[in-house]
Amino acid sequence: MVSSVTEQVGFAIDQNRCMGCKACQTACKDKNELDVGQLWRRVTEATGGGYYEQGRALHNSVYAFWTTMACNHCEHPKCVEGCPTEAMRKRSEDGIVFVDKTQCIGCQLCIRSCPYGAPQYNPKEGKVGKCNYCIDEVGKDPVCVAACPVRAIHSGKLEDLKKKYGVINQTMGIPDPSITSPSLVITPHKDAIEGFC
Amino acid sequence: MGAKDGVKGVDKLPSNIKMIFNLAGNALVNQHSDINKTVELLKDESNVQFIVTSELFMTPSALYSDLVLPGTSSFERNNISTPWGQGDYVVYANKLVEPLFESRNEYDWLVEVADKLGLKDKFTEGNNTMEDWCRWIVQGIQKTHPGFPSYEEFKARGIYKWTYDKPSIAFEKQIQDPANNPFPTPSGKIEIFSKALYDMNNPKEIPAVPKYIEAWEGPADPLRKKYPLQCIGWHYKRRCHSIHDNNPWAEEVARQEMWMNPMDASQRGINDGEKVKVMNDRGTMMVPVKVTPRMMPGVVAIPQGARYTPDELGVDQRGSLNVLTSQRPTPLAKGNPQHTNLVEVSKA
Repeated sequence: MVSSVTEQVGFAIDQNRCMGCKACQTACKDKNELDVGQLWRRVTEATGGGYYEQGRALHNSVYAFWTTMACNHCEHPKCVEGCPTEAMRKRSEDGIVFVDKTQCIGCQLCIRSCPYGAPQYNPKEGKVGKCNYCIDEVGKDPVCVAACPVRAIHSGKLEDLKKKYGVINQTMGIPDPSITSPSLVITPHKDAIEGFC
Repeated sequence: MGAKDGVKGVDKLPSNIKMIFNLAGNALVNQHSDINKTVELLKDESNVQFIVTSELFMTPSALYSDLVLPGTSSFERNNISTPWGQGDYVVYANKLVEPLFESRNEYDWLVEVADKLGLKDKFTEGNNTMEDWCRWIVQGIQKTHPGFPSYEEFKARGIYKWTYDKPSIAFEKQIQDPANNPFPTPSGKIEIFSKALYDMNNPKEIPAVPKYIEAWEGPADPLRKKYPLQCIGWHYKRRCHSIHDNNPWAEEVARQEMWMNPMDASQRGINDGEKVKVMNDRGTMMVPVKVTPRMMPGVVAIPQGARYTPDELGVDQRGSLNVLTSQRPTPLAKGNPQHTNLVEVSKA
């Protein structure tokens, strides 16, 4: 089982700032040399509302917003629990969840157990890869955070992020946070709020 | 071409354009209106006889060139750049690597061509390299901005920012002292009725007073019976114009696709994600459709910049907007008509 974490790190995202440019997604692919199809961070669009006629006028209630999502380095990571070789581990000092590729056998049980779709199979390697919070550059912002032109993603100690950005870790279209306790703080888009309240 | 096309100084151009240097540009074929018409013009070698392109990629424009030279990217040369239009900074873009393989800066070989023509000094004005021109620019800025750093300092720092000491007010001089600061109009005033426009004697297209004019291929055009959907283009967030259209990561960010309202899609039996045929009298394309309420009913939109990829029948397979656009410019400013298109969309 997972040992207790000294100082959990996490991400904070602001959906009111995100414009869906996907610079975060592309910076991650660039750093990790990911082929098309593998997205350790990905940005998804949520759209709703529509056009309706009122008298002779055409009105609309259309909205759209984006959710950027990588690995949430969860308090209860299902991927770690599901891994038969202990290749998927959670570090005790900062709670980063990462794959030890020397031990990964490519069985993909982690992929099936993660509600966020964070672990992804690399067919060239026959192994799983995922966001490791840019573990090799500790002390710097992960590249997705550094690349965001509107500063919609923040990184740091989860407790600090909660103090700064609040305690919400849910928005329209993502899984129930009670499954894994993600290390994530979300400022939901104004149009996302009705969707999950 | 003559005065009615906006040519100034002569009644008529004395000859056709015989040669084109197309440097770092995909506007020759891809990024201007009515690709199919342009291609017909370029195929006739009695018109333009020789086209030289310098490029990083084999673009549609490069494909219609007689000579294609390998150009350099901004990482392979020193240059100075400013933000578009407004802004409060100027950047020095430092060369990161020497030009790769056989690629060359366009300026370097243009100087050699000018030399062979005996025009080197006239062409270079004494600035033999791009870096000489960068120094020339900095010297020019220093004359009007005494606080501007030395060339070496600017190059090392990479950016220079300035501040304005007061807000900018449009037409400030004309407001404060209209008598001594006339506008460049016959009356020297802002003209609500323009005698110059009146004298053009084309009141339907160039009225002498500000007035709404029906757009060609707009909502009131009878052509809507045949082509009922208004088609616009827009700058896609994955690319600026056509550069990076061939980048697979960019395609993963945002697929080349046409956006269409669910009401228009259901009338035509079209489902989200399928490939559709978009056409008018100028051209036809096949493109995947995104059915979304983010597009207004009656309007479809295709992000501009996709690279023209015709099949053997001339049907574009990539969704290059300019197979649908017209070469008819606006009557006075000769503006591009890229958003003024009627089309019909059908299941493939």
